Amino acid sequence: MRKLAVLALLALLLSCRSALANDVCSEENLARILKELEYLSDKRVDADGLVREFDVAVRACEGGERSKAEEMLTKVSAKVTSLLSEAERVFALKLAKTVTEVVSLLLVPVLVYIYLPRVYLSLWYRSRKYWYVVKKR
Amino acid sequence: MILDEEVFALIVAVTVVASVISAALTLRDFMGYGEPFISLGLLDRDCKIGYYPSRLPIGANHTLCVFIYNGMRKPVLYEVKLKIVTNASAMPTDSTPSPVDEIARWRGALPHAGNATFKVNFTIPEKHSRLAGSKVILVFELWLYDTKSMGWFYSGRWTSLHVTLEG
Repeated sequence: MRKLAVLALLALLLSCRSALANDVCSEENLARILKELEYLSDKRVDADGLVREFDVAVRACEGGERSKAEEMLTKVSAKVTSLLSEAERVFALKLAKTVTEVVSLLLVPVLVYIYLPRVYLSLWYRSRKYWYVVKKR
Repeated sequence: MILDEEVFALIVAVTVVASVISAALTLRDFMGYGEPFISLGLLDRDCKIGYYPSRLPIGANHTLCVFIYNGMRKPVLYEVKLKIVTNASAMPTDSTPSPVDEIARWRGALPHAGNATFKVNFTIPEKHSRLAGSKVILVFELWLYDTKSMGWFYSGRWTSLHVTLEG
C-alpha cells in the first residue's frame, strides 16, 4: 500500500515537472524568445512588430489568459524562426549599403576637385562658342 | 583666370566638410548612438501628470498609470514591482532595490525606442492594516531581464508616491 502511494506521488511529481517544462509562460520560454528578438535587433532586422506581439503575449501570461498567450507565443516563435535564417543576409546587405554610402560620400570631394574645373571650363567655353574676336581699331 | 583659385579652394573645402559630416551621420545611424537608457514614470489614474491620490484605503482597489520608455538599443522584457516602504532606510537607490517584498508586479516587453503607458490596478493588502493612519511610500521599481545571466536585474530606475493609508 505504501509502495503504491510512493509510486502515485512520483507519477504526480513527474507529470507536474513535464507540465512546467511545457509551460509557454515559463520564464525559460520567454527568455528564449527574448534572446532571439535581441539577436534579430542586433542584426538590424526590423522586429518591432514582433516585440509588440510578444508584449501582448507576456501580458496575457500575467493575466492568466493561457490559451491567448500560447497562441501569440507560438505565432511569434514561428515568425522569429523564419527571420533568424534571414538575419545574417539582412545584416550583410545593410552593412554593404552603409559602406557604399559612406565611401560614395567621401569620394565626392575628390570628384569635385578633379571634375569641377573641367565642367566649369567646358560650360564657360560652350557659352562663348559663337563669340568672335573683333580687332580693336 | 577663368576659375578663380580661391573660389575653387572654398568650394572644395565646403564639399569636404559636408561629405565628412554626411558620412559620419550615416555611420552613426547604422551603429546606433547615445548611451543606452530606460526611463520609468508614474502618472495618475487618467494617465496624466497631477491629481495623484494622497490617501489610500487598505483593501480597496486603486488605479495609477505607469510610463516606460526603452532607449536600451535592444528589445527588453521589463517588470514593474510595487512595494510599500515605511522608512527611508528601506528606499531603493540607483544601484540597489528596496529590501521590502513586492505587493504587485506587472510585466511587458518593449522594442528599442518604444514606449508603453499602461494602467496598474492594485490593492493594499489587509496585512498592512497596522499601518492605517500612517504615511507610507509606494515605490515602483523597474527590473529588466538579462538574457546573458538568464535572470532579472534591477535597472536602477524607480519612482515613488507618498500616501497616507486609511483603515
